Amino acid sequence: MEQVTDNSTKVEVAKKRPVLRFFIGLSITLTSIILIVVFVLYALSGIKESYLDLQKTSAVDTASLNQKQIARLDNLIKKNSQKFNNLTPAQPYFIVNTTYNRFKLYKNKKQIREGFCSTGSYTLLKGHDKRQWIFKTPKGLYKIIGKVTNPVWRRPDWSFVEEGLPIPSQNDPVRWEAGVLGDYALSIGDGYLIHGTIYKRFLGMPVTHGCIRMNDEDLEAVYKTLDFGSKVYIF
Amino acid sequence: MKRFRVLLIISAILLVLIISFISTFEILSVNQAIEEFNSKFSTNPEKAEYNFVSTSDSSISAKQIAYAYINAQLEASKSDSISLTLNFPDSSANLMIKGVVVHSAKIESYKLSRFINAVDEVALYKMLSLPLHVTGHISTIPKVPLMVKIAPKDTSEYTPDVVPDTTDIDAVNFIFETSAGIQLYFYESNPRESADGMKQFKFDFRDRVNSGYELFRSAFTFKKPKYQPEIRIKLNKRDAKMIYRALPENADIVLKVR
Repeated sequence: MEQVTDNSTKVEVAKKRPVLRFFIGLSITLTSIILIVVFVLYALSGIKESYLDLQKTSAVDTASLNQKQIARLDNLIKKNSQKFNNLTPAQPYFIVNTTYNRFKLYKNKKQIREGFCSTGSYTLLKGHDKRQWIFKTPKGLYKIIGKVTNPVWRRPDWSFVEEGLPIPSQNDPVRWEAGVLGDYALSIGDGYLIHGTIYKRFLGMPVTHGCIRMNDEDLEAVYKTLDFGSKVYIF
Repeated sequence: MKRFRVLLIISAILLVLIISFISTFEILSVNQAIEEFNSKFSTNPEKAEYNFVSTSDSSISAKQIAYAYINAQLEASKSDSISLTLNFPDSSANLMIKGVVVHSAKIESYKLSRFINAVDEVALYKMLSLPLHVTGHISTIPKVPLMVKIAPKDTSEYTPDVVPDTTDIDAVNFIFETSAGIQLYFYESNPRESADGMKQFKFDFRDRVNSGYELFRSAFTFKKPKYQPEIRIKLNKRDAKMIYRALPENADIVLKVR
């Protein structure tokens, strides 16, 4: 009886072996593929870098510089450094960070004030007449080209479109709105202004139609510090 | 059992062969990249103010690097767009507009490819003396976070804008391809603190998979793969986001590597 059991077990194992072999073969193949992939993705860059170490060039004195040439190189560095430093204006200037809605005011090349502001919301407004507007603050270098106290806002077309209102004629008195831009406004061109706001809780957030909004105290300081031609750097 | 052993040995040999084949291809591509770089930056501009020389004198070498750096910054300042200066010895990354630093960030850590030490000294100085141009970019955040709004038909449909969500929930990692063939990788410096670790791993893994795929494709069609030296930079998340959003599509980048 025992003999019969032993034989049947052997037969069972023999039957199972091809399946076992298949799985072992499969796991070896998979492991090999994984090893190659890991090698290519992670180890190969290290090998390349090590190889680059072997390629390291040692500088050769193809033309040794005499004292006169060294002095000339020193002078060029000094001259160009001076030229570069002169690019920072000695006059007051203004920097606006549109990613985090912050500003910095500089005078005599030193920062004299910093704080929150609001810049463009990056909204693309699509009107029903196929017109569209992007509300973003332009980046780059601008100059103050206009300064006014107690500004009155002339509402552009988009301000009616975004509220679902009919667009009035260009000279319609409904376009003029006083008291919404604060006490001062400084123009940087193309209709973009640095002005005050009645929405002070939104300062530090990207909520405007492209203008730069500030609180009353900061706006006053900026208005009094910046003059016509002062540079405005927006990034 | 014997057949199984043979299979195992064949697998091991195949594994070694494939790895050696791929490694050889990659190393050949490195040599080609060095040659291409050296020839690309070998000629002197006609109106060069100064002609760089190869020298073993470290003080002259430092002066040449300083000259190249200031020259590149001056060149970048001629452009109207925003540029980036990466000064590795000072660990600083500066955003500039017309030569004025508008934002200064600290480089938390960086890793320069050894390719920079393997190329010809004069070619390297020449490359550093001009700004690199960004030719392509990949990132985990959009460059312009545009939201589309359809105008209401009348006042009854009008709803005032909601307060925007200004929390930094997205992981900030990006890659710049440059005109000199160098790839600049920017990563958040402490992704685990803001639960961005997995996102950073995925971003990095996806990039490695793409490179690996290109390598396999080149190797099995017997073409030399394209080797691109890398500079990996870690920055604070806010600084990384500011830099990525501020720079235009074809921004100028100035490097100081020593």
